Formats: sequence, C-alpha cells, structure tokens
Amino acid sequence: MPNIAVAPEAPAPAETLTLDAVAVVHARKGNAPFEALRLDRLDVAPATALGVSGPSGAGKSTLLHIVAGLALPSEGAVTWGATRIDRLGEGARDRWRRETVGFVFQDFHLVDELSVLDNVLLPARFAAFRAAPALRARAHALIERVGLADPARRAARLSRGERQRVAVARALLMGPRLILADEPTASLDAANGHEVADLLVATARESGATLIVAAHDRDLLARMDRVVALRAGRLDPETTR
Amino acid sequence: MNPIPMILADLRGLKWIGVVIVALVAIAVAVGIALGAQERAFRHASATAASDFPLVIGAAGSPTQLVLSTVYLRLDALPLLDGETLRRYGADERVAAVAPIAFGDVVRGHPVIGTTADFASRWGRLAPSEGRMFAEEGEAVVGSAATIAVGESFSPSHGRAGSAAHPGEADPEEKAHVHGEVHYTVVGRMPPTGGPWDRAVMVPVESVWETHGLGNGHQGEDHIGAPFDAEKLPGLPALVIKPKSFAAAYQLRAEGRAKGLGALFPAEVLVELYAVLGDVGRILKIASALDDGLVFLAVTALLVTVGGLRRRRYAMLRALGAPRRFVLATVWGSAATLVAIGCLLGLGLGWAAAGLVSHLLTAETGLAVPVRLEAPDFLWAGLVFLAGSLFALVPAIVAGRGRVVDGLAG
Repeated sequence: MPNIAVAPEAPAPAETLTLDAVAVVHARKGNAPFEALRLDRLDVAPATALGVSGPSGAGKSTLLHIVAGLALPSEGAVTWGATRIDRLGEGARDRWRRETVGFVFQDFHLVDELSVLDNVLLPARFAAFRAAPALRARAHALIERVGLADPARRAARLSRGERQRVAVARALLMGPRLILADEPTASLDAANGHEVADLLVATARESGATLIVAAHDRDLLARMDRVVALRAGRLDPETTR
Repeated sequence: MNPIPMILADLRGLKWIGVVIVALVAIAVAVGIALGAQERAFRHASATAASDFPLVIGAAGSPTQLVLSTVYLRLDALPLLDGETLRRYGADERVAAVAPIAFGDVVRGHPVIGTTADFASRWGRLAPSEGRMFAEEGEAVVGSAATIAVGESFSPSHGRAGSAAHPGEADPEEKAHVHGEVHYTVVGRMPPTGGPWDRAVMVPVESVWETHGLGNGHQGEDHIGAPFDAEKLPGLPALVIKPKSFAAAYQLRAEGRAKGLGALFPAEVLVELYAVLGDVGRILKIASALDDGLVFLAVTALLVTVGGLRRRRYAMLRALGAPRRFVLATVWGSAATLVAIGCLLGLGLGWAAAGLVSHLLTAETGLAVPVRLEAPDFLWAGLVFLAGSLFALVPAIVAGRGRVVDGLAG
C-alpha cells in the first residue's frame, strides 16, 4: 500500500479530541426545549477510529457537526488539543475546519459539473488561487489510491460507489488530522459499501488521522477501534465499547 | 481563494436558465442602445443633409413642409414664389449665392429638380464623380443613388402631389403623364452626400420652366444660370440662399417674413423637430429603464430560487472549509458573469437593431443614417452591468445566510 498518497508532506500528529459537558438544546415554540445531545464527557485519543452508532435521530449527525465546528454547542467545551473549537470565531472555525477536518457525507455531495480532479481539488480553492503543484500531484495520487482511472471524468457520469470514492479522496486532500464521515456507506450497495469502508479506515490509518464515523452499518462499525452508541442524544453505556 | 471553477460549474448547471437570463439582459441593454444610437445617427444624418441649405425661402405656408420638400425631397405641391424674388435676392449684397429649386417632375421615381449648376455642385463643394456638370438645357446630372446611367436619355413625367414614388421604378401614374416632347441626356453623376438628394436628377431650372411652357428666364437662349434677365421670371417653389454672414442671414430671414414669405433656417426647424424627438426619446428611455428594472427583478428572483435549490451544495462547501465569502463570491460571480455576457451581447444586438432601423429609414427617405457605437452606448452597457452586479449581491447574500447544518440537512 503506497503511503505517499495519503500522508501529508509534513504530517502533524492528530490531537486529542475532548467533548466536555456538551449539550445541544433547541428551543421550540410552545414546547419544552428539545435536547438533541447531552454528553458528560467524550475523549478521543489521537489516531483512533471511533464509530458512533445509534438509531436515526439519536444525535449522531449533531455530534459530527459540533466536532466539525459547523454548529456550536449550547453548553460545554469542544477541544482539539489546545484549541477550544466552540470559542473560535466563524472565520477561524472555517480555517480550522479547512486545515484540520475532512468530511465525507452520506449523499457524496460532489459538484456534478466538475471533473473528478476538480472535485478533489475543491478544498484547495478556498484558500489559494492556484493549487500548488505538490497539491495537484497529491490529488492525482489520491484519485489513483481510491481506485479511479480517469481524473478528467465528469462527476455526473460516475456510479454511486465511484462518487463516494471521489468524496473520500476530496476529504483527504488537505491532509486532515480529523476525518468525519456521516453514514458514508448508507447510500451504497453492500459490495461498494464494503470497499468504501475499507478505504476510509485504511487511509485514516495510513495518514495517522483520527476517524469518526457515524453509521448504522455493522460491517463498518466492526472495523472501528472504538464504538460509542447514542440513544436520544445520550451515550448508551451498554453498547459502548 | 479561487471560486472560478465553482462559478463555471454553477453556470454549467444552470443550462437553459442561464440562456434565458443572458437573453433577458441582452434585450434590455439592446433596447437602450438601439434607441440612443438610432436617435443620434438620425440627428447627425438629418443635420448633415440640411447643411447645404443655410436659408430657404418659399411662399407663405408650412415651414415643415418647405423643409421637407426642399431638403428631404418629400415633394408636395408648394405655393409658388414670385419669380422676381430670385432676381431680388440675386442682386442683394448680403447674399453670397442664391439658387432656385424647381420640382414637380419625376423620372422612374426619381424627382427631377431644376436648379443651377452652382447649387447642383453645392456651391463648388462637389465635383461630378463621373462625367461632367450640366452645361446647357436638355442636360442632366444624377445623384449617386439614382438608377439612371450617365449617357442615358429620358423624358420626365409630370409628378402629382401625394403619389408615392418608388425610386428606380416608374409607376402607372408616371407613365400616364410623360412630357413626351422633352428629352434629357444624363451627362454626369454626383458623389454621395448622404442625403435624399442622392436620388435626385438635377437639371437646369430653365429646362423645367420650358417643360411647363413658362419660358427660360432669360432674354436669349445662349446660356443657363444667373443672371436671369427675362422681363418676367416664372414662379418657383423655393430658393436656397447662402448669406454672407450670420447677421445677414438673420436680417434676410426677418425681411422675408415681413414680406409674408416663408423664410427659415432648416437647421432651426430641425432643432424644433429634435425637441419633439427628444421628448419621445426620453419617454422611450424611461420605459426602457423601467423595463430593465423588471428584467433585474426577474433575474434576481430566478437566481435566488436557483440559490435555494443549491442550498445543500453551498452548505457542503462550508462543511469542507469554505469561508462564507467563498460562497458569496461563487454566487455573485456566476450572476455577474451572466449579466456581463448579456451586456456584451446587448451591445452587439442593439447596434444590429439600430443598423436595421437605419437600413429601413434609408430605403424610405434616402437619408444615409450610419450607426456607430459611441461612448454613451458603452456607458449605458457599463451602467447596466454595474446595476446587475449590485442586484447579483442579493442571491449571493441570501445563499451565504443561514446555518450550514440546516443546508446539509437539505
């Protein structure tokens, strides 16, 4: 397995992720506030592969959004190493996310009108006008690594399995220390789901990144170092290992 | 940051909506450009055509009709001036030159105008581009656009007021009223002047008088042109006078009017005409500006709607680390690109439309109306682009608003 593709040039180590007394509470008109999430404490050691299981509506996506800094908790602290994510301003969170996080979605979210290569290079466009040659080379290597032959192909022409591979390559482009995947196999058939699961876990391991996967998929969860189960926004101690 | 790939992707994704937006903007711009360019061109062309007619004297009547008949050859039955007027102005020391204009006959739809060789050559400004100037009765020179060849001979027909002449063809009316006993030979062709006179056939005024049995304006038969020394000069529809100075021009006009004549500066009549034209033009421009406002509202509404449909796409960009301004730049950039393409197309379209109107106008009046795009047209397109770019901020701001997680949820 060639490691060149997924390891960033100067790999910074992943940090410890800590959620301390985090709660996400949504105010509701006329009703009591709704608690989408309430965790006493969750620590994720660097380079761990963590699975988050639980039924729909249990708060899995909310957890990922909080970790990614896409949403802010109503209470508590989210820290990545020495960085207090929930205290960063919007611009700083965008930057932290761009530099630290790679995101894979259930529905791929590719830009259909762009080629495979341009989709993978998308995160590079947020900061610089021109992608550095090294980054372009990395994009090509990642496309090869996830098993796609033609970087010039339009995303609209890809199969579902191929689309999720592109999404994985895109998530890896900036050498993220934290990879977040929200039901990455739920829109795929069993064979493709299996391959994408392999790919996610392998690439995270190769690059030494922390991986957090929210999933129903038992096959995917079985590959995780650790699994926490969510039930109605709270950790369920019985199914957590 | 570099939103260009995303802008291109967004534009590609718009498909026919993009085409519609570009077309709407292009039409909005084109209408403004066409109106402006056409009006400018028409003013320029009509003023140029009038420049050889400093002061026109006719019998009392409608000044507009006098100008239309003499300068633009929209021939009408004008009351005749006493022939003595010609002699009197010829002798006036404030007058540099005077020329009779006698019309009424046609040949193949071209008006036959009796005048002097002096005026036919525009007081020496023009020389025949082919052949020579007429030098005796029975000779003619044709305008650059007349369909009669040098060397050809013809008999004129008595024209009838109000009969629509089609240059180049003889209608039944014309055939029925031929002056069979009169023959002209074309000896020269004049260069183009850009005016309706390019379609005229110019002959010595003496020939026109004789055609109608009025003598030749001279005591003998030995020459044509001034001095007109017959005991009694035949009547004339109009005189063109070149005064020696501005002061002389105003004096002559005032005196003419005091005598109950129609005396006017065509340029001044045009100014009045332009004032009316300007009012109409302003109304049209206001209408087209309102039209542009509607187009922008429609385009903005379309883009806001499209932006709503793309909420997840923009939320995805934010989740991948794009700052809010990247989304803003993407949405604004694609809208501004559409408006820019529309403005450029509109410039071309407006120019083409004005050209088409010019073409029709030339066919109808003989007035050459060359349309050129000038600074105001580019300014107009620029203004539309500027306004469009401002409007484009609306969908951009709408798309950048809201919580990313809501967008991701779809």
